[in-house]
Amino acid sequence: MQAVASSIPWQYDYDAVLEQARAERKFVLLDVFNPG
Amino acid sequence: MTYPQAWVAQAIAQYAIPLQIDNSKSENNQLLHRIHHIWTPDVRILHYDGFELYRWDGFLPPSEFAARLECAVGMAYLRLKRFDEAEKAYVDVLRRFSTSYAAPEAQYYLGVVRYRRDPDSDELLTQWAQLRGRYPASEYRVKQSFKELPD
Repeated sequence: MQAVASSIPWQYDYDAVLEQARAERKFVLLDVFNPG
Repeated sequence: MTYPQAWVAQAIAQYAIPLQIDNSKSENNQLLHRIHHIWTPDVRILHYDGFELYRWDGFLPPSEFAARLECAVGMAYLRLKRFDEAEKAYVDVLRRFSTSYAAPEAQYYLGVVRYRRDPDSDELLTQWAQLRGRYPASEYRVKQSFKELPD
């Protein structure tokens, strides 16, 4: 599927995001996608 | 998963850090194997300890995605026994997305939240009566149908 501009500020490092979520006391929204 | 609408990004940012994993990149294989990934889009709400609190597969258009996200947040808070926050999320789904596919689930679990917070209240049966009236053909109506059986 052709990528479309997104306003979501995606991050790509699983461990770093979990640490950030812990620090900010937020959940993680994980989206596994296929670019094809 | 891409949504150009700013309000979708705002809805996500309110509750979560967005993490995207490309399943075509080999460096992600170990993670994908560990989480038993099978289809895309594969959307999950994780606690910051890595525990999966809610998940769903497949595309949803923006309004259905937003409703499902709010339901997911409700379930995440419920599993963490943060009942007030869970209630707020489910009430929000019913107020803003009452015709969405997520709405019957929100109606069902609104009763569960209120019952878990106060087992002496009548709210479980009250909310499930609302479920029967508003979403009679839903799977969640079936889930509470044992309450409709004669004693």
